[in-house]
Amino acid sequence: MKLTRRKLATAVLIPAAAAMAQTQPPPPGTPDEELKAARDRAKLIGEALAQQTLPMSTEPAFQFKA
Amino acid sequence: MAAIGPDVFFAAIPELNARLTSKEFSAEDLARAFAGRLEQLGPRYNALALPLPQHAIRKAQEVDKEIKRGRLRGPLQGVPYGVKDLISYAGQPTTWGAKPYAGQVFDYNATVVDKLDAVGAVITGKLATVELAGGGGYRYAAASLTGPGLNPWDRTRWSGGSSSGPAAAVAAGLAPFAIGSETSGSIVTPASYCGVTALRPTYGLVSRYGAMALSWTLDKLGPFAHTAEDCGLILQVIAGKDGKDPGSAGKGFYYTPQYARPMKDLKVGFAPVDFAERADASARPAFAAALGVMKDLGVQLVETKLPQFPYGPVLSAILAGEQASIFEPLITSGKVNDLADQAQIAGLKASLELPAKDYLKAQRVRRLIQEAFSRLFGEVDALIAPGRSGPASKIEQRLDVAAGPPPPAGTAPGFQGLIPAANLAGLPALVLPCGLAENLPVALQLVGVPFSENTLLAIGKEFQARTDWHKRRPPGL
Repeated sequence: MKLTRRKLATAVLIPAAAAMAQTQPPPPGTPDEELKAARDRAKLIGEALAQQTLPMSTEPAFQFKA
Repeated sequence: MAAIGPDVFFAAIPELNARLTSKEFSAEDLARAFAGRLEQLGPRYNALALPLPQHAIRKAQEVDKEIKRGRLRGPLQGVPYGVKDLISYAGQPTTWGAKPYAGQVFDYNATVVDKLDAVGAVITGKLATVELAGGGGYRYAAASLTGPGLNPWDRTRWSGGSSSGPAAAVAAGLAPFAIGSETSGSIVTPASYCGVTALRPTYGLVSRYGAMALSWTLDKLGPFAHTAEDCGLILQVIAGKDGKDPGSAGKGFYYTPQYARPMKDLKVGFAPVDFAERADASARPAFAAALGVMKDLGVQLVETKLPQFPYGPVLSAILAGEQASIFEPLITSGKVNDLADQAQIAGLKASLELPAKDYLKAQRVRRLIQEAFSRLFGEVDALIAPGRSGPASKIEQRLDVAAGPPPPAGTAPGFQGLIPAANLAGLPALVLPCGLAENLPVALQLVGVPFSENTLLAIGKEFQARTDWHKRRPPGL
């Protein structure tokens, strides 16, 4: 089969574009949806942090000095 | 007025200093030339927040009198510069790149401005920034009072953020150097995208007094310039103890290239995958060549793994907690809605709801991160990785989603997360332009142990003695 440049471009670029499109969900449409998305991201951060187990002796990385 | 040729606009600081002290041109000549160029070309890249030509000329005239009297104040005397518009310059607007603060004026200078003024450097303008340095998380490059930062190499590409103006101004020869800031990536990213040399100092080495606070425990100020040596000369002036900055480390910095350790004695950790599968395909040849130059310097390249931590979530929680406290009045007043970027508005609002336990948990994990990096630096003297995985993104591209398909499943993590990791640990980083991809700059970042700036600068100086990427100019400039 003869592979023309057009066919090659179609074969290579369209799947790549489709993959890109799949990785880019549309942005939230309204301010309320934006806020919900931001809250959801914050929730995920909390969940990621919750998975970290720490000894009681591990103090926060800032210091208070009297 | 002496003629200032195009070569002067891209000259390194020692050359400018030599030509000033030999009276080839005066400080006033230089100030007029750079201030005029900044005013003329700055808007072309949305890099200019506020021109200060009259201030520059007055200061330069003072400098000329001093030079005439033989009062020499070091290599920055008479050299023009700009500051990111979140750094206060008394009596002039400091907008933080954000509409709600468009009319804001402070009656005092930031410490870095005072320090630069004391050695005779000449401020010519304030430079663009992403609004509020982007702490809320922005979706588009247009998240700025001055519009999207346009890359001097290609105006359809982003200059990077949040220090968009400092990087673009130096890249386009509008200022010999500029002062920007980084909370997490705001020096490394724009320097990489614009092809300029830049230094993110160790946390606490440079006073933040007079600069907008975004995160008290993460914010740093640092220089953008043409060479590693320039960065060392600037850091020597702006570093130092400052009682007005509670985060000040109480240390100064002396640029001492004459005492640099031999390159062959230095171990530099790297992850091969960062320069291959995890780099944009177009950038891999440049990164491979740059690694080759590093080997030629004689440094020992050692395959290294980063400690495993959730760097992104830890940094996000700390940033959210601190910015919520800092910007609570903006958020609760509703003026936050005047910002340009919807994602940033929502991010700031959501940050008010961050549980205290999450902030504190993040700061506790950060302690472990610091300790893990301290152990890592027992094995290597520095880490090296691409500044960014590829060249600058397109202006309209979304910044909150991955630009391309992810690497194949099972690809090693490499130094993914190095930017948030190094910022959490307060580590210094030097950005070195190292090649072109798609006719746009790409760069390396060298990360070191706290207060190891001289080591990073020594490696950078050797690298730049063998390459000329830092001398390349954007097309047409």
